Amino acid sequence: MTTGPDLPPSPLTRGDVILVVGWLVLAAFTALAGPTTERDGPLRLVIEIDNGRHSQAPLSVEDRPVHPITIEGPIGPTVLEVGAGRAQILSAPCRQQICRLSGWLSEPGDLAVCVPNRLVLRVAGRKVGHTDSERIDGVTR
Amino acid sequence: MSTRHLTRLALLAAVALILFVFEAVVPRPLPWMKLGLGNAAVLMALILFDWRGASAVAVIKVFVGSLLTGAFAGPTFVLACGASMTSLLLMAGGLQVGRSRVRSLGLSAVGLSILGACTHQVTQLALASLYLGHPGLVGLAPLFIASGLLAGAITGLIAHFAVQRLQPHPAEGTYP
Repeated sequence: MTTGPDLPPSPLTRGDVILVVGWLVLAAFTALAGPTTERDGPLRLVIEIDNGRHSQAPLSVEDRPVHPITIEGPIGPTVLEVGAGRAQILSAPCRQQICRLSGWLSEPGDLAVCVPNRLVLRVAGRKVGHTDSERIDGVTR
Repeated sequence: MSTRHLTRLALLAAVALILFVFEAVVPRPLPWMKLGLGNAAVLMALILFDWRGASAVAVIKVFVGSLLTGAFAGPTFVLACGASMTSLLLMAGGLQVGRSRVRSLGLSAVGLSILGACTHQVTQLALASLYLGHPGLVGLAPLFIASGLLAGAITGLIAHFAVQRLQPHPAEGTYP
């Protein structure tokens, strides 16, 4: 008589439920206690290399055309495209190009990370129109 | 280990590798979102064989997979390696809990997969934070954990049903 391996129980055991609740608690804790983005000041793209602030680019200038910015990182140049209200990575010197998948960064707190090039891009500040004094109620000419 | 066991383990390693490479070329909704289908094969090896068999499958998946996708020896390879190893370690521990005297706290294949996926995500995030020296990455933890829960549940269901169907015919002998 042969017996199979000692199989784990069917899904949704008590252990499964405790495990999922545990991860949800950890997720909630990191969401509440995690680092927060600076919400004050104009909307801007903060560029950091090796945890040192490299530079920042304003995103709040309305009529500024989209323009490229090149950042020299440890393994080569990362090229960004920065325009009014948003920025994205155009090219990266790494092989996997994971950072480019982040797409357009436009909301405060948006983040793009290139691990090989030790580069962190994040959006800080406040979007125009998010406080009463800045909200436009009408335009007259 | 008999030839039959070695062959079965090699097949699981091949499955893990194919799924790993397949996932590397498939577009993802977000950079850190990945089903981790290869982990289903690692989990199957863990359940049907033991932690040594599962380690072999995981090591082949990460090493050969990284060679094939071009990520070998880069920082992302270190992240993938560390995450795979801690995730396997916790899945093996979780399985042992279910087989020990505290059976009532045992995890199903889905639970084990979720444990592995979330551990993988959190380890990867922690290693990336350390490497970049940037605490801002912790802000991504809720997203990482949420995608780990979802992906872990899906791959866990796959592993669960696959293991049910991989029960050997009595004439074929058994798993170790």
